[in-house]
Amino acid sequence: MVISPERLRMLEVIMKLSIDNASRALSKTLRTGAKITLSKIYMADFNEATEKMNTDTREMTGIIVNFKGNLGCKMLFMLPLEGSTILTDYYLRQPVGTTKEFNADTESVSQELGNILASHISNTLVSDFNATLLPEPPQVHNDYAGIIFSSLLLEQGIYCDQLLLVETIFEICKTEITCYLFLLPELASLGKLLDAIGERK
Amino acid sequence: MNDAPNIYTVGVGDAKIARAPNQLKTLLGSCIGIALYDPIAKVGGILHVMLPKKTGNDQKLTKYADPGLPFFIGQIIKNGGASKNTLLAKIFGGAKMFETAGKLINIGEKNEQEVRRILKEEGIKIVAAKTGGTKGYNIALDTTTGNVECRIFGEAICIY
Repeated sequence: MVISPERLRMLEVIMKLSIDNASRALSKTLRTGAKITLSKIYMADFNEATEKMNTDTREMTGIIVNFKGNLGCKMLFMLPLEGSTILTDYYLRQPVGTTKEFNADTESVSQELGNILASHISNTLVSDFNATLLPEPPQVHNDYAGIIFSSLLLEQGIYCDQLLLVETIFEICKTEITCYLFLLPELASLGKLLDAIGERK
Repeated sequence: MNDAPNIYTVGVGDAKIARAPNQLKTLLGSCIGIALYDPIAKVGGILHVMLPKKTGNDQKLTKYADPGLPFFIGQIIKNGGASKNTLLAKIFGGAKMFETAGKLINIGEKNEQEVRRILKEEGIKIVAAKTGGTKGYNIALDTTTGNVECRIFGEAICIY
């Protein structure tokens, strides 16, 4: 599938809006600045994308949300394992450093953050694309960055070698946490998404 | 085929071949990583298979154990100068990972069964295997020694 630069630019604007909304909601929840910046939106080759991520062998917490509906997609929010304990402290309004390791609290907070991000991203997409999107409960998984990323892409990689990836850089104020946030429209949705913003090539 | 001394990363559904002193590495979840090594020719390769069998018209053979593995064996012999008689195999991965769509349960187990079947058919001995579990594998093949460094998430490094 070929997406013209103009269509990609339009997608970028819409995605940026949804990510800005999510960023604001997260800042409010954590009561600290959370800045999500759209890094790029691009058609990625499945092998190249996974090869690149396989070089990142950091231990991460990945929060995956599946969206059902006529614009089905997946969201992956991934942060370093130690970052998830810091976010837990922010969320629970306790001094940073209180949570020492990934535990039941950290898992709950990660799920909650996934819910917040998912709902704000989907709200924008729903209003801009007149879509129905139903986020499923977030799944939290600790593993290598490349493994979590591959698990997100695996199903689509079976059917297609090209993926539309929305990649962001996510920074939490006063910390060194840099995270990943990926959005991956399903194959069937990608066509509808492109139809919604104009003619497909 | 890579000749400069380096570490090369293999993506999902892909394969790479390298000669000593290069290293090849990859991360595996439900996929199976097959490290082939010829200790005489000092050449090795990693194939990262996603699925047991090819069903559609997909041109990317290395995604599948069948026909990707026979193709990969052919490549390491033809382009790497390995001999089928001296090729050794080590297999890793095949974990039961978390579901992202509900359809991929036990794909790791099926991948492993198919890989073992093909290697047996090709007459290539499996000299080491570490498969299953629910966590990801980080493996690196040293083409000088044929050793594979394997680290399962949250566990200590093991050499195979």
